[in-house]
Amino acid sequence: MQITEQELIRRAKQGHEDALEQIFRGHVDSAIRLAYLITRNWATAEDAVQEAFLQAFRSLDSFQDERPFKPWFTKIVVNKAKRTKDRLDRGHLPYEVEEPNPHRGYAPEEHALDKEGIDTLFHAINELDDNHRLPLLLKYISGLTEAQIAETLSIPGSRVKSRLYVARQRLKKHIAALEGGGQNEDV
Amino acid sequence: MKTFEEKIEQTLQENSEWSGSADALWGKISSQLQPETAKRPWKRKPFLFGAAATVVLAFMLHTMFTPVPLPPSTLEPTEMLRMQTFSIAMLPEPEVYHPGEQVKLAFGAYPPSEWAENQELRLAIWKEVKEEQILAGERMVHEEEILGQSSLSVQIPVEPGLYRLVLEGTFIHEGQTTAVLAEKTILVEGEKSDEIIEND
Repeated sequence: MQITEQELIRRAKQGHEDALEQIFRGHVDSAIRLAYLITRNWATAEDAVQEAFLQAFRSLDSFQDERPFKPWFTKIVVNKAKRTKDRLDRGHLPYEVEEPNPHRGYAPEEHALDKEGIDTLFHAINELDDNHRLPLLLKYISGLTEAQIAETLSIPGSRVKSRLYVARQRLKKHIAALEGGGQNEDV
Repeated sequence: MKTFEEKIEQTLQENSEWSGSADALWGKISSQLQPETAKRPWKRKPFLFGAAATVVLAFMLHTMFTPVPLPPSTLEPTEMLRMQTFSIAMLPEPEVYHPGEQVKLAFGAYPPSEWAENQELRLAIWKEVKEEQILAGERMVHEEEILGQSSLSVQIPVEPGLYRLVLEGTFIHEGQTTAVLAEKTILVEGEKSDEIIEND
């Protein structure tokens, strides 16, 4: 029988380590991806996620069971990753700028986008400022709804909508400029 | 043909593939969780430091204004009670309360010293959050609340958690200044509330 997230949280609050581990395994992948895309450094992304899980688990008592765990936890991940990135930017930690993803492998025939297209789009995403990049990451990496993104970033829902729209427009414009106006697709 | 949204998602997914070990990461996390859960909250450093500081302060106050210690047999029962309030031996596991209850905060009254001179009498409620203490509430205490009393009634915080109640300062009654000091650690149980834990 599939155990619900609420039940898992309840068990975790009671100190069942297997429940904590299940929560961890259910969220670690998207958390690491998100933290990496914020910090652009795998080691610090792992550190940020580790700190985020520790903080979340230590604060579980203050979390209401009936609410979805992911937006609450994602907010912690974002804060930890941003804080780490700030430290990197201030030079307190070594920052591997634009670190190439060592785990990335391409099989162009399996994808609708080839390597060049992915690189171009990824470059364009990284050119976005945080206000427009973070909502994209939360939508496409964390799978949050616009309402959940609003809660995570502590901004109104209408602003999330407009930031996502502007981000997509900027990406299109950026790609079109790089490709000499060749990109012309609808959102 | 993929939509633009699908292309964004694919791009982000392909550029964030993690090949690290979830097992190793879980090992680090669980190893740090175990000592945390095993440790009793009121044994943590901030509370111990706070409690110890109060005891030292109370001891200093007491000795400063009782230069010639009275023999035990001559101590008034109420005086002994005040001394016991700050005895290290009584440093305490927290008493458990529920939201809405009242707690009696027993205090000691002393002649004022330099540290307490002109310091308003205030009740501060410190909450332990993530091994740090944050000021959860503070208010002035008026003379009439404590005059002729040996304890102050304090409303228990609504939010569950571990709290330290500190009453300190001076009050003036009929031209005479008196210093007051008290501390108590309490654990509030009850309905949980959803606390925003990050406010960056």
